[in-house]
Amino acid sequence: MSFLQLDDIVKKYPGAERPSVADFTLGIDQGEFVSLLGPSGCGKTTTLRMIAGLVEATSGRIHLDGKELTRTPVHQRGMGLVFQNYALFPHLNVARNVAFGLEMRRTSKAEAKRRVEEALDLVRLGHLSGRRIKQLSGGQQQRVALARALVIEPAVLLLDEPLSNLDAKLRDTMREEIRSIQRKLGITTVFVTHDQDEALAVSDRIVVMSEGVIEQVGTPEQIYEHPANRFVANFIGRANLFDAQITHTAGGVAELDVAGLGQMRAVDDQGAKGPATVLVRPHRMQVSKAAADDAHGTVETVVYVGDSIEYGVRVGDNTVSVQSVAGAAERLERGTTVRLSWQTEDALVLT
Amino acid sequence: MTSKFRGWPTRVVVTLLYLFLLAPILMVLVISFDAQSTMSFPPRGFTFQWYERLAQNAEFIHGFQVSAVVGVGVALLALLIGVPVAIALTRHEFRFREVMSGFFLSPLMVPAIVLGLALLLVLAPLKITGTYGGLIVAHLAITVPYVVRTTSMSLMTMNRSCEEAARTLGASPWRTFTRVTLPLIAPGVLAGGVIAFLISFDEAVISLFVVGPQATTLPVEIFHYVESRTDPQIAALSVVLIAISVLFMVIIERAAGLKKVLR
Amino acid sequence: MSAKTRSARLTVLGLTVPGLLGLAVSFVLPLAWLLRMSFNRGDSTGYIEETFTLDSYAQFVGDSYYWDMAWETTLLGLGVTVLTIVVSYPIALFLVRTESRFKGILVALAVAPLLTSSVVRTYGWLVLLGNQGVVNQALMGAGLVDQPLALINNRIGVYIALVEIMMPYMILCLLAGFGRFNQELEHAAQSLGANRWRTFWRIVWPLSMPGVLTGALLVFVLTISSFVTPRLVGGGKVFYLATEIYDQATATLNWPFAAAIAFILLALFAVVIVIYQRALRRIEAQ
Repeated sequence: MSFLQLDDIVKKYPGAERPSVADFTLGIDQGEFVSLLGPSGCGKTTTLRMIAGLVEATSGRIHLDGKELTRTPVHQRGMGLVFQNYALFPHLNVARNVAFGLEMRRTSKAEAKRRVEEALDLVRLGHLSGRRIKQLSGGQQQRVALARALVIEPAVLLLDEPLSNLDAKLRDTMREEIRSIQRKLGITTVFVTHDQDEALAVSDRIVVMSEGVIEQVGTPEQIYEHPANRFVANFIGRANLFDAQITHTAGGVAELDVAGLGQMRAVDDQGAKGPATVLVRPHRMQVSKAAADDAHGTVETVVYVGDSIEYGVRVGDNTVSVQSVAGAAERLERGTTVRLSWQTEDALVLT
Repeated sequence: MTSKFRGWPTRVVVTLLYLFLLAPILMVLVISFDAQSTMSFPPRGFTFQWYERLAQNAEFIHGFQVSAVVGVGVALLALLIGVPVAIALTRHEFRFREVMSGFFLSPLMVPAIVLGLALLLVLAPLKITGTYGGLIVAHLAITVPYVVRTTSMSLMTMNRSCEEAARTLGASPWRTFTRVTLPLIAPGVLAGGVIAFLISFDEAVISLFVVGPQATTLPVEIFHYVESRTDPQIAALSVVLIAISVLFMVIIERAAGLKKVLR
Repeated sequence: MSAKTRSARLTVLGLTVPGLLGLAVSFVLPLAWLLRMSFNRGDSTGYIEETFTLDSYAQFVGDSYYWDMAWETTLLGLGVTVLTIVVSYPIALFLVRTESRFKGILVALAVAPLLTSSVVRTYGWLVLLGNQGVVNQALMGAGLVDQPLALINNRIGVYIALVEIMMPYMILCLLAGFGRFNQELEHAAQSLGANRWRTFWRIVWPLSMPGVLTGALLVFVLTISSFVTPRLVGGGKVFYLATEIYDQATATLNWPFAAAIAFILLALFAVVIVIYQRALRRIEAQ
């Protein structure tokens, strides 16, 4: 059993057609940073709130460090939760906000003062301890919320889309800061986000969710390079998905008949047969000029984005994205007829 | 472009209507300083004598005391029972919630004259008409709805996740309420209390039925005074009362914003 | 799980019981008692016979004097409502349209009279409308009349004072109803060639209908149950259901009859509210 163990968790709201979360089973190790990733309404926040105890699971069990806490009331769980809107107490100043959890634990005044100072120093806000919440910027409020959750030395740190209310630049800085604090304290962390870049950048492991169900659990590399299905492939990074027919499989490589492209090869972990989907990331595609009768399709759009050029190539009814790092000299014009190709190891058969 | 040409008739009409609307209050203001003692116009000289007489009028002073004590009592009691109801209506799911919500607003749908008579029938046999307790009970039904309403509004608009945050930080439900919820809804609660006080303080019709020689409220004293005489002492008293109302409204406005309370 | 729902139920119970008790004592019980009382037999000596009879209602229904009173009360309600709409609408429309920087103050002035007890405002009208009041002084000064007009101690005064007293309520309802009014729409109608009169009747008035209806209901209900103004301005010489309830209860001491009139007034209320809801549904259906 892992440090934080969730078994067959189900949440079904009365009157709802389908459960918000269904058969959620996951073990999280001590010190691990796990992200729950998925589009809005996929059940990730509900799962987090069930761990915190704010939402009661319809069925299933939650264990922390071997002790069951499925029915433990919120205030006895000792989880540190950072809310999307920070939920700072507007009637208390920064230090009193951070001290709140310690007051509830009846920590002695002197110790509370010391720990509040430590926590504020950790988030680099020591100099603002007397400020009112309204006088803080969004990023500063975020840090106070983090300090307030950390000061109680929670068993698990729960982060509910903590970066979504910050502007893009600040978001990256805060992301790094949260990760480095997490590493420093070695605290087990569950991070909810709908932003795949965020999840890829900070997580030890990612749990991809959709419609209340886990689609895949894995390291960022596994999720990106070996998505389990079309949903994950589409949700994480950009993807070209081709319909294909497997003609022959040998030694983990499948020969395929791909619609519009003809005979191609792709990695096949599962030894599937018959109809299949092939995933190729745009930057792994190659495109070259070809005579009209030999071409797969026509360049429809050309977007110059500095480091690379992005082509949209029309193949039959579909548009294939190609990200080319070739220099501007070899740039293809719109209307050019082209052939598409890839290295076998860059293509993956999905079931 | 056209608005300039069509502006002045509108302005004249609106000004006249405003004059009509504010006429009685302006009238009261003017004659409270009028030197003559009959109701007439225009005023013949300026005097403070009506205010001075007011200060010596034992009935009015006693009425004022009764109204103030009853008003404070009603406000406190209405808060004591209205705030928990608002919490139940906004923070809990239960089967008869809609019905209960309607029930707690229903006293406002019954004419004061009917409610006054009804209260007389119940309070008279218990011999508590004309007592502070009887008056407070009589004003309770018409003030509780306002407390429930302002408090519910504060509870609905406050940031719910502050309560959840307090819970995750280890606060029990009760401590969450006293340490987080109550401070955050304080403006709405205060507004509800002030409105309850003002309504009780101004209430005339229900009180007419349930006052007695020992405890008669100020509006009832005024009513009986106006029934028989109309000297400017009443005008002076009215000006004082208007000043008090304005003062209270300023407090509400500061605390909660008048707009939120009115609708 | 069931222990949890039980404790949740107990919490709700604990939170609402004081309120329910409070309203039971100060509201439900008195009204129930009033209903019971209306079935007793009473007379003008103050004697009450505990029984179960419809005599009091029969006394009301069988006497054309009371029919007239009920009719006058209804008429007062309708008249005051219509007049209040007429005098409040221009102010509300002006307040919605104006871009004056004094808008806030003007809105406050329009509803400020609500802060003043209606006893006080009624007193103001007594002074204004009396034989030596501003109105009569002005009329006589202008040579329009030789004798002061009788404006108080009769129905005219009651109408005038009640219209003024109801205005702030109506203005508030109209302002709330104008919420969905958009001046752009008015300009659009005018640019399409509608003249101002047609713009008003085709665009502005229909849009303001929900506010007008709510205001009308409120004013009607407050008017037919008003007591202080009819009593003081009417000088005890005009009679409506509300004044009759008071007289029967405190002067004649015929409580059963007073109770019966009270329930007849409540019935009138119920009818008006049903009509209002019908009208509202019809407007919303359009």
